[in-house]
Amino acid sequence: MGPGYPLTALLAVGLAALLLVASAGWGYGLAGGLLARARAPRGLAPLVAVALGMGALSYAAFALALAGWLRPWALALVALAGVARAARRLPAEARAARRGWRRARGRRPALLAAPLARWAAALMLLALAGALVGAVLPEIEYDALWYHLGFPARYLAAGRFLPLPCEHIAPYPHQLELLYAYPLAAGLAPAAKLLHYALGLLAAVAAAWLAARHVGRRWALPAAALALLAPTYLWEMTTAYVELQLALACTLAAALVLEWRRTRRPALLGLAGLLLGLALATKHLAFLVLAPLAAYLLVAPAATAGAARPLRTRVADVVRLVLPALAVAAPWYARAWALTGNPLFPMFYGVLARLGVPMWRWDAAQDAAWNAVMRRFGDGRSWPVLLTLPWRMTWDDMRFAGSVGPAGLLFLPPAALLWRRLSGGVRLLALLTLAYVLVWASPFGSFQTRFLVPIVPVAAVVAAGGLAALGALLRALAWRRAWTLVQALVVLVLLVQVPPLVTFADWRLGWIPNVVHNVRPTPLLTALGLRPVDRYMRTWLESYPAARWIDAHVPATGRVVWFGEAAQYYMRQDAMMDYSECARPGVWRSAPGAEAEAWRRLRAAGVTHLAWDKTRTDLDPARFAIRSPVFLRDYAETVYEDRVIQVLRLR
Amino acid sequence: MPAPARRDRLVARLALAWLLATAVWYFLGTLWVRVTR
Repeated sequence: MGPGYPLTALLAVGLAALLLVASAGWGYGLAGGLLARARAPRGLAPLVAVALGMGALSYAAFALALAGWLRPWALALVALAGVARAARRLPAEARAARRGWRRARGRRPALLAAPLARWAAALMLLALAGALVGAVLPEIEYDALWYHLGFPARYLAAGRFLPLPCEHIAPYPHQLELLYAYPLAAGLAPAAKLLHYALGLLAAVAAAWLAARHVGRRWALPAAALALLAPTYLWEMTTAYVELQLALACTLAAALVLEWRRTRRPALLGLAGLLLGLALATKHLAFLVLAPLAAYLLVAPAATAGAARPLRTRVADVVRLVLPALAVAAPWYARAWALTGNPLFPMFYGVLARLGVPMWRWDAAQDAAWNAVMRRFGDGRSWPVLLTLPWRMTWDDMRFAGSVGPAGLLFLPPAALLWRRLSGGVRLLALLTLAYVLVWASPFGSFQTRFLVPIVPVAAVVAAGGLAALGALLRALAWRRAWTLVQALVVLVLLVQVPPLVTFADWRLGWIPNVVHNVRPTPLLTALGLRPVDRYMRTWLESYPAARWIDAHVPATGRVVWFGEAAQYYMRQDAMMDYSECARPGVWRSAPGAEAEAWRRLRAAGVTHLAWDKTRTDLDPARFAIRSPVFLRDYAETVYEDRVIQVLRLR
Repeated sequence: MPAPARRDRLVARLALAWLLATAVWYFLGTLWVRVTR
């Protein structure tokens, strides 16, 4: 990194593009037959192929990690095989796409016919450019550095899966992280961020396709813009998190189920199931989409009005969706089972414990702590709070750790009012959104806006459907000025969410400027190579210098208790969070006076260093043995210190 | 598109009222916080 950063950025873009081509190759190679049988619509099939192909790359890495061959050369071979497959298939696809494009000439202008669509397109382009700047820069976000990139980096270093006993997150499913192993193996971490960027972009395209199909072509771009410009959605496009994989898979699965509703081709359900399986292997949240879609298949009426649909058929259709989903996700849930005794780890611990299921690596105290963390967001679940939830989550982006902007609150209720004027497809998408949000708000969920990202594209199509119905009604009533005002409001909502203006939201409570950093002058100048990358990193990740120091000066076998902002990806050493179960006895359960005990406990956990964050306001040094003068004098020595982090070596 | 009935006028009015009230709450509220902070 350095003044040559634009070259790094270009290489990362090239690698991400190559991996997308490889995904298309694998997707068509493995699911080509199913796609043909499903006769998936031409606009949808390439999206499905790429989404499935990304999963194939990830599962190839899974198999390599199991075999102990998770090495750069092996990953390169897998990716190149996909590229070779794509090279044979893509020319035919491109010719077909050109033919389709020529045939659709008459319909094409409809996409941009309305002024609203042109505004949406322009604002989306601005937002995409802004997010791209963030995506090509080195990673700075917490979960990405801790595990989304941190875990695959450690697996790569070892050439295989590691049980990582000090990381409570390690047994969770994390298939997208194994896709990130490809860019990491090439030494180009920003390409992992760009893959997540691509997932967000493809999910917005899927929303556009759904809107074109079920609302009308002129609503394709506004629907995509409503999804893409939701602040947390756009922020996710700048970082190697995972929710946008769910957004793509769930939106495509919903689209395929709606196609099934029309054609009843079973292969469509199989494809939807495979996609949802990949989503389940990324994050448990995908159950919130799988369950409602399965329920719909159970109650859906027969294709021809008045005809009966026997129970056997209904169950068979559910199985066609659910079985591939569970089969695809199974390796990750089997891994969680092997590591913890609970395939859905860490969920349902209390229930399983009461049933006497043997479990390890987790106990009632850890479960309580985890639940407390999940409950930290939002304002609780009293009835007055739940009834005012839509306003609270729109307003208070700090309490909900993110923002979906005002679009949902503004435009979803009109869709409910105009229910009778919505198409059947949009109504089903609305019910899917409702089911998802209800479970999100239930005691099974956590009030984190980020957890809503998977349903954002579908919700955007519902909002577009409601707006289209309102527009039709207002035109029928000849209330033209009202309709102009509504469209102006849509543009205003989109406008205030475009990155330079999204700080408008900070005027309220201030979550957004903390994270939507990528359009300020510094990141742009950094991406262009006009400012040193090091300076960018020091500004946006205060623990970065200490992480780099540890990486350079502590033996690779060292084990650090880390109190700072997550920066694990920048250290080779095993850096566990201060709240890790391995660190707790020596850190949180050792009060002043028990210095010798604290030292023994830390040593027993293999700890060699402590990295104390001097800026954390939630830590009272007076409660820790490791911060007492006795400990600092007799049991440890300071080996590094900057404005934020003090690194101590245990004697 | 069926011809608008009285019910449709009511629905349209309700939808517009919702949009207006929510937009005022959100945008003016945000400006208000900015001005008073």
